[in-house]
Amino acid sequence: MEFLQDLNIKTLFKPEFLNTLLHILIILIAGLIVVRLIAMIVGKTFTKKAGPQMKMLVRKVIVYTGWAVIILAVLSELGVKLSAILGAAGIVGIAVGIASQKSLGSIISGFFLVSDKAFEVGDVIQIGDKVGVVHSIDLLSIKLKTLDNMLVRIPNDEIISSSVTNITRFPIRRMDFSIQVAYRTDLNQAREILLDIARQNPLCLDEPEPFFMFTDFGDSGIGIKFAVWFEKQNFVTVKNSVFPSIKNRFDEAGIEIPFPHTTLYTGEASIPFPVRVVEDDISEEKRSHHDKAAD
Amino acid sequence: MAVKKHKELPEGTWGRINFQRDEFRYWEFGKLRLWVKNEGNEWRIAREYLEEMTTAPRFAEPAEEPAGSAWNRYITEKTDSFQMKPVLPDRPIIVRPEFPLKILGDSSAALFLHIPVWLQAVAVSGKNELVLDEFPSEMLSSTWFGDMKTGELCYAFKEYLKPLPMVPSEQYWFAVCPLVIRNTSQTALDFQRFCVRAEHLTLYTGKESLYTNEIQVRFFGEDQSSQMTFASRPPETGETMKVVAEPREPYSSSLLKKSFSFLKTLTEI
Repeated sequence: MEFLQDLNIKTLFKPEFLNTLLHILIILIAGLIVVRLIAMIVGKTFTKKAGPQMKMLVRKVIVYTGWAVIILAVLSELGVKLSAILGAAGIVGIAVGIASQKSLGSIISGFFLVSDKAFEVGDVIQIGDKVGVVHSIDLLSIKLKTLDNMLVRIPNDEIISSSVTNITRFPIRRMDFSIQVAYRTDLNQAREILLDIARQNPLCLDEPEPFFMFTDFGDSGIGIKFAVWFEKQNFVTVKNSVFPSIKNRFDEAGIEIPFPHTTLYTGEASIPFPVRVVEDDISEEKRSHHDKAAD
Repeated sequence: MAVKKHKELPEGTWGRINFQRDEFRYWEFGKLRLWVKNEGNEWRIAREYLEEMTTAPRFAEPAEEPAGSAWNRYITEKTDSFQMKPVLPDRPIIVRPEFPLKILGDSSAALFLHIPVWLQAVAVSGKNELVLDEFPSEMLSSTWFGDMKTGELCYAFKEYLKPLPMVPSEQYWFAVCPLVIRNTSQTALDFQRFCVRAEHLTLYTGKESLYTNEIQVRFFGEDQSSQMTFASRPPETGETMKVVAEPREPYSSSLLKKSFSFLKTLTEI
């Protein structure tokens, strides 16, 4: 630190100082070039087959390490004793290491995540209850841009222990519809209508074929699982076209989509509980009461 | 549906048209209806689709402004004329054999199919051609060909592969595509679907119909890609033909691609 103590206007123009300044400048420029060169060579050779995330992580590690070396070299040139700094850095390192266990865990998890290739920047993923487009994969966390345009930061160590669903990994997807039809429905007709809806909709893929299955005898009707395949980017359009088509075509064919209801029987199957409208009787009764009161 | 057969394509069907400013022209092609209007440095195109195929195709007929149609606007530099070109679809097309077809080992089959043609609207300025848009003559549904990871998106087509002799389509909006499949393996080729790489085909026009160059496919076995070769000249029909559309994607002398789909592949999905 003697250098800093001796720093005054006179010393600024001494040849030693200018010499040191020149050395620092050379170290900075040469260091920057070397770091960039190493990052470029590694990027083009060792990580040639790696994905963009791995490339980004390796590049960041090289750049940060390179800058650390450059800073140490500059400090050394300024007359700072590196042994003391490195000794102190060792102690600080232990302290920081203990304090930043989670962060270190996240960094290591980040490497595992990237090598796992479960998702890439631009994929739509679901982690827990969060769904969004992968905005960036960084050393400590990934950032998700949610569908309502919010940025969610999720630490890497949290992701590594959670299940991740990659919604857009494959180019085509299947959309499932759970439908109920009334018990009196002609099931073959319902099946034909649903398959025809898929055939008529140009966004529904012909192959793989639409899926159709009767699922259960429910409380209110017979359950059907109907599924169509589509290109992943057409999710909303397919949903918004198939959904009303089912309702409209069922309405046209007189097929009822039942809501939960209960039919009461008087002990004999298929004969419903007798209900008598008594409104007229009540009115009659009220009228006679009124007449009596008037008398 | 009775479709009127036209012996010859109308004169200048695919040629250049000189549009007056604010003039409307009308095309009816397959299920497609198109109105084109010239507004100097701007072209306007409106389209609609009919429920059924048209029975009376129309090409560049003078027309009135359509009521209630949504116009697409295309801003260009000053252009001299307009051309409506036939082009093949931009993705492969999946077709099925008309009847269960089994090509035995070391045998070959000569087949043909009809491919639906699109219209490409082109504004012409001297030697420069500006593609404004493309319009399918009918909306084809999409289909998936291959497995989930390496497969590709194609158009599904209801037409079938038919055996020769080649029959020109009665409708202008189909191009006749000859196909020769050679099974060079020792096992029988029993396929459910065939992938026609329309993006590599050249489109020719004859007097009566549109044609593509012949596709020759060599089948080596179910687990191997097939070798596809595209003829460099139009099929021999006795007609004089000229090129109306070059292949969308250039290709080398032959391609190695998956071309057949088997029952086994379909059930894997």
